[in-house]
Amino acid sequence: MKLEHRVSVAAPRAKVWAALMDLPAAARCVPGTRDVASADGGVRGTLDVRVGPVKLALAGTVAIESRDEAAGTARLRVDAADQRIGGAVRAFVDLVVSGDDPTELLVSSDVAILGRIGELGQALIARQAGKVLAGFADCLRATMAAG
Amino acid sequence: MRPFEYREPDTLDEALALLGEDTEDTLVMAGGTSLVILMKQELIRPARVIGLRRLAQLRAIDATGAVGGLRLGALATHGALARSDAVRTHAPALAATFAAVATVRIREQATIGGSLAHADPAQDPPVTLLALDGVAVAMSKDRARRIPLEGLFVDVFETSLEPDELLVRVELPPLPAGSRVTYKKFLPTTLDDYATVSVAAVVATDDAGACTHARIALGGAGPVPLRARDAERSLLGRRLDDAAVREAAALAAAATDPMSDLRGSAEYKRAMAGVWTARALREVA
Amino acid sequence: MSRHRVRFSLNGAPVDVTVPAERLLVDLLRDDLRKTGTKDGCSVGVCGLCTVQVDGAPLSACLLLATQVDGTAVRTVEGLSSPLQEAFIQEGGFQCGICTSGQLMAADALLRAKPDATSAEIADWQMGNLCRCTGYYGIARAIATARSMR
Repeated sequence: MKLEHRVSVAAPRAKVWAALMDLPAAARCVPGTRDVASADGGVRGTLDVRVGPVKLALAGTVAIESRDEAAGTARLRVDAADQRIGGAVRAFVDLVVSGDDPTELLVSSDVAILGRIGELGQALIARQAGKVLAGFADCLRATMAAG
Repeated sequence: MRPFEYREPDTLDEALALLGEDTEDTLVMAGGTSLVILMKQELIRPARVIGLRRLAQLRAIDATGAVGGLRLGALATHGALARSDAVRTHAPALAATFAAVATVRIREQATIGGSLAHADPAQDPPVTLLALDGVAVAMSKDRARRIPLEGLFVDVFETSLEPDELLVRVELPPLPAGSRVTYKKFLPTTLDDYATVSVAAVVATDDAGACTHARIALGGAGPVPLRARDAERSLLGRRLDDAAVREAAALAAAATDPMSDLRGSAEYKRAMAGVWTARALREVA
Repeated sequence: MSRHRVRFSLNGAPVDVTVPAERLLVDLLRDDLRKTGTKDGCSVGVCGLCTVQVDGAPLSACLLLATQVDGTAVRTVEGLSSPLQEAFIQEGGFQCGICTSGQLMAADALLRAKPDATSAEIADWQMGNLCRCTGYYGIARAIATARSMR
């Protein structure tokens, strides 16, 4: 399942980049996350999210697979297992940062849903994933604006 | 299915007290058709289920006397509502909407309250109830409040009900004199399915044929059942001729935000919303 | 977690059992009470194989908790005595038989409520009982025939 989200941030590119690469801080900006901690060059945590009538608790890690600051691109790898109904989520998230105050951020995710979570249906999952991304974007924008 | 604690209160007060004392991992069961499936699939695993089947007073279906409105108890089944003289008198299309739900077995078990609280945007009853300006009444241990249906549906499978609230009835105001109501359900596959898209339309016209009242509600066309307000406004003061119907249908389609799924792509559903809005309006013109 | 006493009449005879809250009616009937005429097909209330009557209404036993029939009168195919059964034999209303219990319980509920149900009403009512063998014509003929056999 491919998802795309764009956000415009009123902050210098370097600042946006730094915020994105600080995974623990960025993770806390995703609505519904808890128990966020650094782990093996990445970040560990749990995302509580509702998909339809079903509550999920996705516990896992996010790591930086590759990054190119000059080009403004990075690839993140997400690995999470659901603690409530079982199943897993694996994703590659490509970040592209362009422009400079305002800085444009493009988040492209390639998400694989494994196991029981898949029973909820792609339409619903995509919708909720989009909401989570939108929440992250709002938080990022607000954090940058706050200085 | 995971073991759970099941409670069957004998009165509404008891049910509200039970719900009020602990909402954590507690779910309420009306007919149970949606809940039992989700629990069997273990997609939801409540620690506690409060069954409402003993609350007979919530099954009542009443016309509100000379005023011309309708009061539907939350535990009234779709089948009982389809057969009800009060419902048929208020609007035959409303009775037809309840009769359009799934199969006879589901209609005899599933309830209007459960259906509204479940908030699946492809369900039938919420669409017509929305077009008829329905208001939900929700109660908790400490308070009661009225929620116009448009404000009840927040997102797919999500309502604005608080965890300690029970939806106890739906109230419909009297229809403007001379109103015509229709419900169109488009199912290209099997007749027992949810709609791909559905349209409920309510129209009243004056002696000159100009529209004085218009409601267009759409199902399966977005994350929640929605009112096509721009389309409604476009009809007011006009005769419902071809041009008016076409314009309203286009506005209704533009108001949709469908999800692509097994019943059709978003583009297809949007197009069908336009087609079926036109058909509904021609019927009540 | 919680256990419940469930008292109901089954085909006219009293039943008094204690079951866990999560016990489904279809499993109570088939496994605990050995009434295997009711079948468990799709498990989601769509196919109609598990159709039983509760206080005269056709319901999916796979979608009912056993506790939901406390105080009711339940009828299964084992308790059926109806011209429908002869009509199904006469008119070729079954082949493998897996849907037959459900077809009969649904049709019986219809003819009790509406002895003069039209063909259209029969088709609409029976719509929720799926059959893979007969193509439905034999079933429809059988129910129509049973109408006049009363």
